[in-house]
This record gives sequence, structure tokens and C-alpha cells, in this order.
Amino acid sequence: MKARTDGKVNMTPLIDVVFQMIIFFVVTAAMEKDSVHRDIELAHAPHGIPQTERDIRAVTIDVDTTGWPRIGTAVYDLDRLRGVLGEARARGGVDFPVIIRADARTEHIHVSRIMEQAKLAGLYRVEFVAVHSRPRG
Amino acid sequence: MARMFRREKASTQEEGEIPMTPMIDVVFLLLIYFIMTLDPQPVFTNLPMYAPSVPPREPTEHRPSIQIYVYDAFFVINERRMDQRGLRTALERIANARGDEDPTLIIVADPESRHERLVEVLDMCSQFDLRNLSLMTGS
Repeated sequence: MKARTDGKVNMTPLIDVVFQMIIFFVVTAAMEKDSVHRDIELAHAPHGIPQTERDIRAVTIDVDTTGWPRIGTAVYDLDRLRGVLGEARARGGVDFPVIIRADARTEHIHVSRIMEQAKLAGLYRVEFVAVHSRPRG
Repeated sequence: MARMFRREKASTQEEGEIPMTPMIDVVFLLLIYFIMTLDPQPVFTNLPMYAPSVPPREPTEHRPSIQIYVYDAFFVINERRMDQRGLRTALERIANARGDEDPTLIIVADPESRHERLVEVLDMCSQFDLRNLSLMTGS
């Protein structure tokens, strides 16, 4: 009521709404970036085909330098990973990719073990994720 | 014009305060404009790869196949040791010399090589459009 008597627009809710919107957009923009674990530093591949759309059936496996596979935030050992991939295959068929996001410094043996499990589960398509730019410096 | 005049009058009445409402209106419009015109560049790239025993593919005996060994410090192609630049040149030559069928590139990665090295090779293959790749792990 006070605002009306002054002939001023009540600013507070307006600013509240603007702030809310800014926070919403900042958070949703940051989500894409956060989907990769912070401790995984991807390799660079400036000539790769940019990732525009993805198969929703695809299973993304993160591998950090310790070599343990992770799906989301859960760490798996190789047997359980095979179980998960087997289930995914049972649901989605064989033609979807297993996407491996491995740290650039991970030794190849860890990646190859995961590929081995994918193969045992009957999944033959593997994609490696890299950053689509030249390394800095 | 009448509206402008009225606003001006209102602002002078507010004892020299800056009118915030039009400012926020403009900020809002700018925000919406930039969000709508934002076209985010894809950050990631996926390098496709098949495990050696893809069921639907035919045996590749009759096709030319080239083996690339990936070690942590160097690459070996056609039994010659190469650095990254040398491998790029070699792959470019292979890509230019190919006929109707893509040569099969068998990438053999050393278990102790960093994943980065493999990505480098896959990136080169993507650059020269060599798609017939299979990956093996060396011993």
C-alpha cells in the first residue's frame, strides 16, 4: 500500500524475479559443464566431429586417472560394469554406443579393460569423448 | 509523446532519483535477447571406434590393412618410428592414396600409453576421414 501512495512501482518483487531468472539460466548453463567430473581432464581433438545430438540409450562411462570406471557418481568394478552394460544391451539392442570419457592421462590399459567388458556384454560401438578444440598453450 | 512527457514529469517529482523501472525493462529485454540468440558451440566431440570383432562386418583379409602402434612417447606405422607430425603426414598420404575402399587401420595401443595418445591418433583419422578403424591393445 505504501508503494501506491508514493506513486512508485514496488521494485522488490521485480528484482526478485530478475534474480531468480538469472540464477536459473546460470545454473542450467553450468549443468552441461558439470556433467563431466571435475577431476577428469579430457584430451583435445580439434578435428573430431562435434557432438550435437546423442543417442539416449548410450551409456557414458567416466574414467579418471586411477582407472576406476564410473557411471554418474557410482564407481563400479569390472564385473558389475559388465552387468550394467548387459542390462543396457538387453533394453536397447546392440547398436548404441558406449561413450568413454577418459582422462587424457589415464593409461590405456584401464580404457581397454572397459572396452573388453563392453565387448563381453555384446556392445561393439565405443566412442571416446574429447574436447573439440586445440589444447591451450 | 504524452507518455514520455508524463514519465519525465514523474521522475522530476521523485527528487532527482533515477527511474529504475525502464532500466530494468531494458535489462530484461537484453537478457531475453541474448538468451534467445545464444547458440552454444558444441564443446565435446565423440571419436567413434569399433572393437575388432564387430559381428556384421565381413572379414577384412582382402582389404589393405595398416597397423599403427601407439606408445606413450612415439608412434610406429609401417614399422617406422614416428612422432606426431610424422604420423599425420603418413596418414594424410594413406588417405590421399586410398581407392574405393577405405583401408583398415588397426590401432594397437600400448597398455601403458596415455589415453591422450590414442585420442591424438583418432583425431588425425577423423581429420583425414579414415573411418575404418579398429582398436586393439598391445601386450
